[in-house]
Amino acid sequence: MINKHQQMSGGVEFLFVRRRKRRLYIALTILGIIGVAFWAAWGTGFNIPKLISGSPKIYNFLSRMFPPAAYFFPKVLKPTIETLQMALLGTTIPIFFALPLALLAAANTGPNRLVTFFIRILLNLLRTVPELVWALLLVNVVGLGAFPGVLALTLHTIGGLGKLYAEAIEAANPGIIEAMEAVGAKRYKVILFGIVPSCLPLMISTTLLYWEYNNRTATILGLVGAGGIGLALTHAIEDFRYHDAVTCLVIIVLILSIIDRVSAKLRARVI
Amino acid sequence: MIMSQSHLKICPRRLSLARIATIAIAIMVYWWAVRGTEVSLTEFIRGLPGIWNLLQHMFPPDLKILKTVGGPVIETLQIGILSTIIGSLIAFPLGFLAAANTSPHRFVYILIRAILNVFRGVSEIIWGLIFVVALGLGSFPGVIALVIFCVGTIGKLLAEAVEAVDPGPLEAIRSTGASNWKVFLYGVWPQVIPIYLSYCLYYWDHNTRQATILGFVGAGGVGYTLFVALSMYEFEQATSIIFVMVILITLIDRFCWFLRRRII
Amino acid sequence: MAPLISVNKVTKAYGRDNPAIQDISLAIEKGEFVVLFGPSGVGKSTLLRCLNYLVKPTLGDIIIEGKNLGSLSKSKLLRVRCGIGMIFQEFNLVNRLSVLTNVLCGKLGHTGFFRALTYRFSREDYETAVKALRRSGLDDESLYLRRPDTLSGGQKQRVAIARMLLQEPKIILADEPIASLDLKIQHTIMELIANIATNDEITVVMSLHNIEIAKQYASRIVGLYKGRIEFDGPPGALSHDIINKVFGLTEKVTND
Repeated sequence: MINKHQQMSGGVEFLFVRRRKRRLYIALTILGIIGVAFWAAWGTGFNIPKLISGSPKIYNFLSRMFPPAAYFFPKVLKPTIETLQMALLGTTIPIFFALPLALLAAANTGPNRLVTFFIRILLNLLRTVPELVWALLLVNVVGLGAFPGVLALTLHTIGGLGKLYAEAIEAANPGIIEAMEAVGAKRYKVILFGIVPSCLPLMISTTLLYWEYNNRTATILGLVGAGGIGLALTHAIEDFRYHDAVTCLVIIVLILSIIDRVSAKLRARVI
Repeated sequence: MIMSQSHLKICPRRLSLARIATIAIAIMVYWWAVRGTEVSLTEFIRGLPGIWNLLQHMFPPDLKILKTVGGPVIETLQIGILSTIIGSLIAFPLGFLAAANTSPHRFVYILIRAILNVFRGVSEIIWGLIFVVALGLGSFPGVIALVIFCVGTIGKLLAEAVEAVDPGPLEAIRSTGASNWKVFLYGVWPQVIPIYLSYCLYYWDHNTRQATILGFVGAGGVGYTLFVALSMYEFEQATSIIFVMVILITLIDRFCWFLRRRII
Repeated sequence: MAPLISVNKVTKAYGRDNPAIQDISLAIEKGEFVVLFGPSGVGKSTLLRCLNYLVKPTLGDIIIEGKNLGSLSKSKLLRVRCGIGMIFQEFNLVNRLSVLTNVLCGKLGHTGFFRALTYRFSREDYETAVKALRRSGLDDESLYLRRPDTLSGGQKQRVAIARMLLQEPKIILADEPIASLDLKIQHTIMELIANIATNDEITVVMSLHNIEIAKQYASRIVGLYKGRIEFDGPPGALSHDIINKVFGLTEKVTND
């Protein structure tokens, strides 16, 4: 009887110690984060007094921006359409490149490990370089306008979609491969008619998400002269035409909300 | 793949009309887009020697600049970390206010949702631009810009997670005689916290990435160094800086991926 | 002696649709094992949830130990709920918390502000939780710190029962507790609940759609159909004829 009681208390004791250790762990992590936050604040010159003194400046600035200039709306139409077009092309053209690259980069469909390795590095390079940087470089090559913007988005998206497609392909149900091989299908048929169709919903959904993201990015490519509404916005701010700037902002928010909704609806139909 | 005969009979005809219409519209939209953005293969080919030219200017990379790039890199890291911490802290209560099941009043729900949508609707770079113009150059406006974007995105994602909470365990805890906030602490919180932390980590990665380019609008960090280098046509320097940016982003990406596996 | 639970003309309607339950009146004495029987969607869950006021009746009163639940203040209602344990068909455990913490949730009604906030339960609470888990048949201590999603259905329900035991309830409400379990386990869990009820003198109100099990364990069966009580009596009186006539069910369906 006594032994059983001791054993039970021993078990509870163990749980208690574990609880205590976990609490310590969490407390240390939180302290660590606070410490890092302070270090970062010191480094970036972020402090509360600055925030307080800056607030009226921000408020002042924002109040000068409103109301949006009604006359400017029609002028923004063309750049807005350009932005949408950039995003569309920048998402759809990469599909043709990303899909084969993804098939090469995925562990279960790639020809050998060396190729997979290098393609993966290539894809990572494409997607890690920020679109803005690609745009800057390409503006130097093909001049200003929407064309370098499309190219920049395309390059970056090939990397991004390539990686996501590869992940989808690797997550494919191995049962399908088994079934098709059992039927005697050749390798390329297994891939084309087995794996790809089964990954299709996920890939389409991912592409739609990327399209949403690209629309957002396309709005800022204008900053470096690569077309779209970003250019109009930048010029408006540089010329102190703040009402025009806010007009651009309002359009951007509206367009992106609509794109968000459209993308969500389309994605719901795919899954 | 395997279709019954009757299905074959119905399918092609019904698909034909809708399919053709969709494809036709897609082609038209495409054509319009290509015209509008002046995408042309010939221009591209004409520009190819320019790319070769550019590449020649960019290589070999100028390694001297690497000595001075350390400071901006750390600044970029700091911007990313600080904005994520502040942004996620502010987003936390807002996320609950923006969720239909935890919001105190319908009006609050609609209002907060609208604010969050505006915050995340505008790209971080644009926020950066706005705040640089309002507050001057430096990393301070960059942090604020990223905080605003972070609040918008994490807030909305958190709200969605809160709305997707499984109500069964909540009912069970309520039935033990626990008050509302205890139901929240033991029912809602454990379901929501891992998702929230996962988002925080994901957006730390994203924020650092964005911080690298916020410098373009003058908001400090490695992006500003790159911008300066390119403005002065110092392409070899630019290559080194881009190289450093890529390494930085990749490291953070790996680290976040590693941490996220431990949380979930 | 006044009944422990008194249901007086209770009706619950969701919106303008037909009421889920209509004009229900029941008196349940201490120590009874009442089974609410009927096909799905007939109002059993709603009635059960009215008993601890998780669902507020549109009309009528629920009186537990002489207290009218509708007239109680929030905190007093919570006190009453502390004494009523509830188990569910889908177990309703919190998947992110350990098995032990799930069980400890049973004590939440009695835990103070700061303790609950920091997930700190007393040593006695921990010991009680372990005892409850053993009593529910979960002796393997390695399970206690795991997450519930790694457990089988039967084990999950045992955890839920342990959670309920921590409340030291006078009444157990059970909403289809065995519907999600394998046939073999169904009887084991029913035995467990019945033993606990007998040993601790707990009144049980349980909803079931399996007539065989209902007959085996209940001391009283209340048959519901379309939101009304169609039968109320001992299991012996519930013949197949009555079942067929009243519920319009075929024998095959009721015997599953």
